[in-house]
Formats: sequence, structure tokens, C-alpha cells
Amino acid sequence: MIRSIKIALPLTALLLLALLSPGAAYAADGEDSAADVPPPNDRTFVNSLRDVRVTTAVPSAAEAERLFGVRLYDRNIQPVWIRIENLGDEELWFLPVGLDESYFTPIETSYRRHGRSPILNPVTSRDYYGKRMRLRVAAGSSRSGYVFTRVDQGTKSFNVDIVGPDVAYQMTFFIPVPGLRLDHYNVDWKNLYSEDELVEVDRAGLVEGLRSMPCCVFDKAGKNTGDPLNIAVVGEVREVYHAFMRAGWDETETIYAWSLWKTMTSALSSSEYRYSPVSALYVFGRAQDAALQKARGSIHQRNHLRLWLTPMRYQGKPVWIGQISRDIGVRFTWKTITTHKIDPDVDETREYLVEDLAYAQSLAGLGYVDGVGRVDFEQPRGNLTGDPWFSDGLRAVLFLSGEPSDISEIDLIDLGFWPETEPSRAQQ
Amino acid sequence: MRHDNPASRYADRAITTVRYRRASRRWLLLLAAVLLAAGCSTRAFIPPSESATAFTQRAVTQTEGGVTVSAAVPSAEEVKALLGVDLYKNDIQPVWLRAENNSDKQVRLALWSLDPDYFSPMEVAWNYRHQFGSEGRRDLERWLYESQMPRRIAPGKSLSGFVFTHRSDGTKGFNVDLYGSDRSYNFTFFVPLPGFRPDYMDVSFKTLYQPDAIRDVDLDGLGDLMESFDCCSTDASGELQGDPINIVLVGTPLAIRRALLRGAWQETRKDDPETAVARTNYFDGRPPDGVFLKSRPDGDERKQLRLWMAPIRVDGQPLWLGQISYNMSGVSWLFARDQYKIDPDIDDARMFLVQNFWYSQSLSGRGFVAGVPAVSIDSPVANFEGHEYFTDGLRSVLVLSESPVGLDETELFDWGLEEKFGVGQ
Repeated sequence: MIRSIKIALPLTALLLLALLSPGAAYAADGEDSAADVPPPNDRTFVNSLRDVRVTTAVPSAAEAERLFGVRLYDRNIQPVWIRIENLGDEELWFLPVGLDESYFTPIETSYRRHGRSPILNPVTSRDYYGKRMRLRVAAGSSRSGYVFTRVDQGTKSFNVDIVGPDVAYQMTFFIPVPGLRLDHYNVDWKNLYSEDELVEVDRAGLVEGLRSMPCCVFDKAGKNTGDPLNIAVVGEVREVYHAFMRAGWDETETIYAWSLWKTMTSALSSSEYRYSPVSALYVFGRAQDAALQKARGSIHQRNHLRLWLTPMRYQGKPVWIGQISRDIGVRFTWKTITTHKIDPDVDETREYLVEDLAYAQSLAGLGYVDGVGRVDFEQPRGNLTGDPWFSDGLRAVLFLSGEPSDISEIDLIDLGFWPETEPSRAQQ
Repeated sequence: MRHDNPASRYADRAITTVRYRRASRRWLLLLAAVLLAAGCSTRAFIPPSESATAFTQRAVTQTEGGVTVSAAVPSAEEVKALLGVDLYKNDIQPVWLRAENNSDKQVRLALWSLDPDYFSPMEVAWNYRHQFGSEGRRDLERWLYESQMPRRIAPGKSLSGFVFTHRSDGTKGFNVDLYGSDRSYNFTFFVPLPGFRPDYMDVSFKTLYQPDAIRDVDLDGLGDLMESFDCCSTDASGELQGDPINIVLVGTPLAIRRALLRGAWQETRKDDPETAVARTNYFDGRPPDGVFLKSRPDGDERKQLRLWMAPIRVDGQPLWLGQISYNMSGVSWLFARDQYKIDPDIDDARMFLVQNFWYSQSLSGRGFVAGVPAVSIDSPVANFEGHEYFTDGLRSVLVLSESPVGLDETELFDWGLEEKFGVGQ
């Protein structure tokens, strides 16, 4: 809840590395075998930063079961394998809290595995304890092991933070975890538009293009309009996914029998199924190209976001148009049996998204265009399931960043529109 | 039941029918009651009177550059008086803000900075839709919508309103970040809540020790002193050994409080039954001066921190002894409270606290000192409650700062014990 950690570390780190005192290194050669745990699979990812090399891998549910002999995923435990090689001459410390603030301790993992049996014997937890990732990595040595985190399906995104004397290393990993059928894997991104359909636009062209997009999403027949298209995004496919994942958004599964079953049971029991498929809404005559969601309390409290790729490219990057809504409760309708009641104040939800991405250091630039058309609090419009909404009529244009970008350095890009300083209030 | 003749079979059926009728009548009654409670309420929403906003008089005010922010938190009772509904019951805690922009640029207040999962005004209204008639519901929606804290504040303007955050008990700690086009304004607020008295308020720290009983050391002398210092807490009689004292905090009371609030530790009351067992641990003849809890977001498990002020000063700053443990809940929700287990790996909890202070930017120095007998996982030791533990035998020394410290700015004291004791290995 406290300020975002400063990321502008590399420079300081470089400066301070030059000042390191020699001779402080510990001789730890030959003693590393005890803390060398082999990787769970060959889907390893490597990231190097100056004197540190980090390799990670995430076992799937099936692999975790094979490794530990129990279905850890069913208990919301996902082991993450890490190897840290310290090539420098100072002792380094790994901070698992940066990976998952609510990680499970090795003994807790074993305790949960045993169904929280009333007898807790540390000795029976030796196996988990022995495989844990060590926190201290002496100069010139390497350590590997598991951190037991909460489960993320689809893509596991996490930070590996390492600190030493006057230096901090921060790396972000995005690791695919087999097991979910994700909807964006079905999209043939390359062939969505033919070469001659794509247009490279300048700033004026971007503004004109976005202003002239339809106000709202359509139903399949293209007859009725629904929620407003109140966001636009500029970024490569990968950048878009990474930016949202860094902010804690989840991918969605495609609609098939098993995913529908999981959605239904989770709605009935109020439990969490974070990757539930979302219903199709239409723009350009096709259903969304990408859908993301962010769980808050229960399945009834989450934010939904849909994006469609436009034929426009700005500074070489794809331009997307999209819609975000905040579910505030569940409602019964004849059309879909259960549907989610959305927050009618769609501008509030839009501004929440701007802040959510900014604090995740995913936002490089921000501007606004119109195109939705103003809808007053007193005369709301309805979406396709009959939920009312009202808006100042603006679309937020979000320029996403693949690399972490500091919240205080967000580029405010004047596209000719800004929300009013005091949002339009109902009369009186 | 046996059916010897047809008549009794009919009788059975008749009884069953009557039961069904009775049951369906009961259902109808229930349905009517539900409808009455749900859709057919005619209650009106009465906008709050002047006196209901008296809590804003308690506002805490801070200024940075040309921006002034005031904040106040109404108690559960004050919220009821304000809106006629019980927001605290649904874990919603409104924070009242006023922001005055005397800079020459527009600023944007990030509501996210107070609580990343804040509730939107319409979401709050949706929670209470059944308590009002359709007119009352609309009035509540409109009042909440109009009373929300605006995000954009033009130069020379002063605006106020509510942000609906998740409820926390005790002192409410939160950030308020504002962004101008060329700079940011960052505030951290700690707002006491009336009616809640944390345990440490009842300790008179000034008179706890006679001035001549206090020992003064510098950081370099701390290692020797702690090595021969009490290893553990005791029970009330002073005879049986409790958990190791594996935390050594150095800092002003303000720095300690800020670090704990920034790290999202929850204060507790002295008579809080949840902390009764924690208070059976004694040091120097008394229970902990403060007990703090930090819960998992997804369960009942929680870290528990017990602190005592020690008769020691380090470079003029008070030293606080601490114990940290991780309480894991029991086999089912039914027994979760009674059957909790302590994670015997107490070093993990110790290292968690180090990181907690590191990430909440409170840690200006970190080191390790000895003084607890090392215990291996193969032959754990039990405390006086029968909970087993094992440890590498070190205590973490954490020097806490009142102002934020960057992740790479923490000084790592090299006292040469890490390798010897195999800490973090």
C-alpha cells in the first residue's frame, strides 16, 4: 500500500559497484551442492543484469504433482524454481516477498499437503524444506530452489528482486504455464488485417481515427449497441499482455465445456475462477480479439476489459480500441440467466484503469479523445443486458510500455481533449 | 413406516399433502418477507445533516510544495449517522479528503494510492439497494456520486469528498499521491480512529525503566551485548521458556509505528481475545508492550509480532525486543481458531519481517547478532505452549527510519556471523 519502490536503480547500482570494497567476499566454493535443486522442466527463462544471472522455471500442475507427489495447485500452491548466480564479489540477498508477498513457507506447504493434520512434525517437512530457495547467495556462488507462491494460471508474471550493499537488481519474468486454453492463442494476429488494410497514422491521424470509431460495442447481429468503447491502447500484442499482467490482470480461457462448468460452479459458490471466459461483444463485425479480467473480492467483483485490434498503427505499433467495465454485483436476466451488474459510472472505471496501469509502471503516455458522446447521469443509456451507464464521452488513449516506466514520468499527450477538472455532477 | 392396510396408506398421503401445503404456505410467507425486505422497501434516503459531518473537524493536515491535503476517517457510528447505513459491516471504510491546490498547475489525485481495490461510489450504493425504496436508492446513489473525492484539481481550487476504502481496524494508515505535470506530491497519513485504543497506549514508556538502569551502546557494541542477552521470553511465572527473541528493532517510537503501519501490520487491543495467547509471553516480568498482526489476504493464517521496549539505547535510540511467529490455521474453518499451528521454521518469519520493512521503505540498516541457541530441524525444541521450533540461532537487527528509504539504500552491516551460522542457507 505504500509508494511504489524506486526503479531508477541501475545507474546508482553501476556507480556503487565501482565503489565496492574488495576482500568482503566469502569463500564459499565447493559448498554449493547442498543447495542446488535441479529445474522442474526445460522451459527455463534466463535474465542477466550486470553481475547477476537469474534462471527461472514454473512447473505446470501435472509437473508439480509429479515433483512433490501431491496436487499442490489444488491447494493454491504453485512452486516457482529459481537459480541465482552471483558473479560479483559481494554477498547478495534474494527477497521472495517481491515474488509473492503472501508466499507459502516450505513447512506450511507440507502442512497444507497433509490436509492440515493436527500433528505438525517438522521432520516430515524436510523434503519441502530442503528444496526451498535460499535467500543468501555468497559472492561467486549460485543457489537454486523453490519459492511456494499462490497459483497463477496461463502466464505466471513475477519479479525477482535481489539486493546487496548499495545495489538492487530487479527483473520481471513472464512464464507460460501449460494447462489453460487461453483465448488469445486462438487469434491469428498476423492475418487479422492484410498488408493493404494496415495504415500508419501520425498524431492527427490517430486522433481522427479514434474519434470516428463506433461509440459502443455491438451485438452479434450488429443491430444493438452496448457498453461504450472508452479506452484505446497503443502497443504490441506482447507489450499489451505484459503491461496488464504486471498490474495483476489475468488472461481468459476460451469458451468450452470445461471452462463454462468452472465458471458456473464458481458463480454459485462465490469462489474464484480468475480465468473465466467472457461473453462475446462485437466491433468490426467480430468478437473481441483479447479479453482480460482482474479479480477483486469475489467473482461478482471484478473488472472486465475487451480489446479489438484496429487497422491503424502509430509509430509502428498496433492501435487497439476497447471497453472496460467494473462488475459490482450479480443480477438475473432472461437472456443469459446470470449476468453481472456493471458500474454505471464508466468514467470512474476508466480512470481506475489509468491509475492501475500507472502504478504497475506500465503506462508511458496518456491522452484523451472523444467519440463516445456525452451521456448524462439523469438520462443513462443501456448496454446489451440492460445495465445503465453514463459518461463524459471521452476515450482514454493509453500508450503502454513493455519496460517498467516510472509513474512520475508519464507523458501527458495532448490529443485535443481532457476530462473536466470537476466531473459533471448531477444537477445540484 | 409399515403400510398394513390401504387406509393407513391414504392417511399417510393425506398427512404428506398437508405437510406440503404447510410448507408451501411457509414458502409464500418467506417469499413475501423477502420481497418486502428487497424490492418493496419504501425507505427514503435522508441526506446527512450538518452535525453528521462533525468528524471532519478531526482532520489531519499536511502540506507539500503548494499542495495541502487534509484527511479524516469517520468511525462506524459516525458513518451510520451520516448515511443511515452500516458501511463498516460490509468492510467499507470511507476516508474524507480535502485537497487544496495552490500550485500553478492542475494536479491529479490518484484514488488508487489510498487503496488499489477501493470501492466505487455506485458499488457502495449497490450494496445497500435493498434497504431503500426506488426513490431512496436513487437519492443514495446520487449523494455518493456527488460526494466522491474528485480526481482533478485546478490551480487555486480546494475540493473535498470521500474515497471508499477497505476497512482496517485501529489507526488507519494510507498514502495520498497527487501528480502535477512536472512533479508529484506524496503524503502518508496515519489517522487514529475514535473508540479504538491500541495496547501500547497503556504502556508508560517514559517510566518503564529508571534512567540509571538503561545501558547505552553503539551499533558495534550491540553484537556482544545481545549474545549474552536473554534468549527467550518466559511464561508469567518466569520459569518456563517461551519463543526465542529473534528480532531487535532500533528506532524512535514514531519510526517503529510508521514502519509497522507502512508494512500493513494491524494494531491490537489489550483485551483482544485473538491475542490472549500472545500475551502469555513475558519479558522482564511483563507481557508484550505491543502485539501486532498481519493476515494473509486469502486465509486465516497470520504473522504475529510481539514487542517489548528494552533497557538499552543504541546510539541514543531505543531498542525493542521482538518475537515473530507464523500462525497457520487448523484443519477446518470450524476449528481454525483453536487448532492453529505455529510454523516451526521461525527463521522464515524473521526473514519475512526483514523484507516487509525493506519493501515498505522503512529499513535504513540490517544486520545479524547471536544469542539464541541454534536448533536443528531434526530435533526441534518446544516452547511452554508445546509448539515446536528450530532456528539458525541468529537475531535480526533492524534499524528503522521515520522517512522512506529506497530498496538499495539499506545499509547491510557486516558483523561476520552470516557465514558462521549459515543464515539464509
